[in-house]
Amino acid sequence: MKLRDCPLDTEVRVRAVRFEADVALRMREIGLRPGGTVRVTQRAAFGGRVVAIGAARLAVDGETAGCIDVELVTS
Amino acid sequence: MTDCHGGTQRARPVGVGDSGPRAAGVSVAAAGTTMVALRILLLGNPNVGKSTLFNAVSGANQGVVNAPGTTVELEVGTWPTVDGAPEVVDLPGTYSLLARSPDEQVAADAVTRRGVAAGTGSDLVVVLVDATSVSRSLYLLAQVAEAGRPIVAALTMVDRAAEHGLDVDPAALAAAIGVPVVAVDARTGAGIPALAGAVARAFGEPRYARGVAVRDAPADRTEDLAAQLEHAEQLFAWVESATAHLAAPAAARRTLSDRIDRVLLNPWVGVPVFLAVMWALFDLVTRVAAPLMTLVSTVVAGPAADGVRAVLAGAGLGGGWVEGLTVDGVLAGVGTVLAFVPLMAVMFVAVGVLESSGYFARAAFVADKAMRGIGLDGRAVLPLIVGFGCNVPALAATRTLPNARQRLLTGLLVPYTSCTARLTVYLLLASIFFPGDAGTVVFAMYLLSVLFVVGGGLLLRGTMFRDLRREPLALVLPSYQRPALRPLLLSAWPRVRGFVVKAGRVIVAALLVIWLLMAIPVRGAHPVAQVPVEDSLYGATATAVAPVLAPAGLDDWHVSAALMAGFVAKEVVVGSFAQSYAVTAPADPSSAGNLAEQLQQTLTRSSGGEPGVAALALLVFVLAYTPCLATVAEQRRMFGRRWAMGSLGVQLVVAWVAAVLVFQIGRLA
Repeated sequence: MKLRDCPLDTEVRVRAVRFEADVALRMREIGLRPGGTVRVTQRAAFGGRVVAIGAARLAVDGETAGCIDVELVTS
Repeated sequence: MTDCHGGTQRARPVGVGDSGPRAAGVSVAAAGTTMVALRILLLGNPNVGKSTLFNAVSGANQGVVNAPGTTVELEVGTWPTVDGAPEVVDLPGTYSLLARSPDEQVAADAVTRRGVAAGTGSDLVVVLVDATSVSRSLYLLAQVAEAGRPIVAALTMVDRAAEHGLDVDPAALAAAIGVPVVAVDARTGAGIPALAGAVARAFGEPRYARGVAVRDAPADRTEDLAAQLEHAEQLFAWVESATAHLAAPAAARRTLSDRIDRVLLNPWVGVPVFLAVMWALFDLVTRVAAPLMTLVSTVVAGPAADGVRAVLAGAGLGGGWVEGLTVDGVLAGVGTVLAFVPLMAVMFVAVGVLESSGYFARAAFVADKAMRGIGLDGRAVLPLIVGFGCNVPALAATRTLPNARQRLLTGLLVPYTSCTARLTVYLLLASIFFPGDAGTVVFAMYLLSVLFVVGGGLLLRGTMFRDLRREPLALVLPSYQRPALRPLLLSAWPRVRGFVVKAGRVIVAALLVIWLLMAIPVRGAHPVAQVPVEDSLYGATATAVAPVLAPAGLDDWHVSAALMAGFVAKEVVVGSFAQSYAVTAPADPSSAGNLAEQLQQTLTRSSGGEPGVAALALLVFVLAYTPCLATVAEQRRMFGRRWAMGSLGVQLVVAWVAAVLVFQIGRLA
């Protein structure tokens, strides 16, 4: 599932961040790391999403949200 | 990872090259008898309260300087409550020392002593640790530790973390990472004395992060990307270990900021709110600044000018060219600059309110799609919004964009953002020709400015910038908070002062040149400085240029003269109008000195009886043509002469075509 398709307020785990290496590194630096748990808190215009990473909030545009693979946290 | 520090004191080699720019210094016990100048570098992620902390510790003892060899601005001050009042530098916010923008590079260089900042030694780094995002902050702290810098951590946003159920214990965190951690709230001043104490102690007994090995060659972007990723994972592992004691935030807790975002980032509400905020910003600037500008102008042109004339008369210099030069040249220029001060102050404070409230990041997010439509991402909205204050800092702000082509495209569009200098002309013309709808006319100019930016962006994106790589948008959203006025004023003051000094020199010099051109006769037998403007060198040039503006209904030398002066700076346009009319024998002696009536008569004559339409054409021309020489100079410095000159030429063509269209279509209506 893509981050863009996530239901609101549901914990998901990041499986992959599909960007070129330099962008992927920056994504990791700001908190979007494979294995990390995130939660979509807000849907914005044009597919944008606000993601909770711990207590922080990260806004990503629709295209970026479509490049992040996530899976539901089952436990 | 290797523990080569152990969080213990370590003698730091002190050399000449470590000395900062300060002449005075503070003795360092660990460095033996050597006296060195000490600096404190404030480093942290964006929006963690770094500038607020800087303002709290430095108070009024601050100024704005450019980082060496760059246009990146740094706020530099002193910390008077620390023994020796060491210098403190507010570095650009960054998530990493692996810089992706020139601003981040300045921060990285200052910490690692590389590149442009090499040799400007850093002695202590105060790393701000955001309590709502400790891991992200500690990653940056680990990179500082790798550079071998002694560290004091300032824990910020503690109250915000509490909203999420996070209780970050400074003592426990300090024990985990090996450096002092002090909780601070720079808005209230809480914790600042304790932080000052920790900093003072750290000068004598420097502390280093535990568990991070110093790298002989600190990481940079020249490394292989795979190596960078691998090394970053090592630092993430250290961060994970250091934060293992922290409790996870309460699951799915909805904060006040989340609830506000539900409204302000709603797909249907977000864009209208964004537009409303922008409108409110400029309505505020118009309503608040305009009367203040009038007041300043009145004082300078009245009592101040009278006083100068009296002094000169007392010295036997009244009535001649010295009085003309002093009053009509120097004082007129100073008055123009001073009249601009309230406008700039209101603008800087208003933008500061947007930034510190947390809404600025939301504005970038909301505007992302529109920016992406012209080949930019949401971050480009920041320099473009700054451009509505002043184009010159806006050009500097394009450097935060990580892609050189994006910087160039944004830099070419910035001159079409309607800076506050142009607002002075809008206010003058709108109040004269559309007194009942002045606010609407001014707002329409800002909308037209946005259309120029979007249209220009689409045109460039589809032609010269088809190669532009799209950068993903990922913006950290700070929590909303009520802006504190004092830090905003402290921050705005050096910027206003910088503008006055920077623009003031150009404006005063330009008006002196204009006065000189007006003082040189080219026709008739006039003595120097007693020349009717039409007979002066300036008037002759303006008269020669004026017919070019005939299709826009502006074929008059007063107009072309003012527009020529506007190349130097838009603030000069109003002054030039006033100056040219003041030295011209008016058609109606009873209206001498009345700029409104003079302009009415001029545009009525030049437009064949359509002064309102001609005024609109003039407004559009002023919006679209070259903002000022400083902007051209900055474009040339950043992008090269070819781009700067090309940009200037296109601006003139766009302005002329748009003004002609407005006049020709408008007079048919």
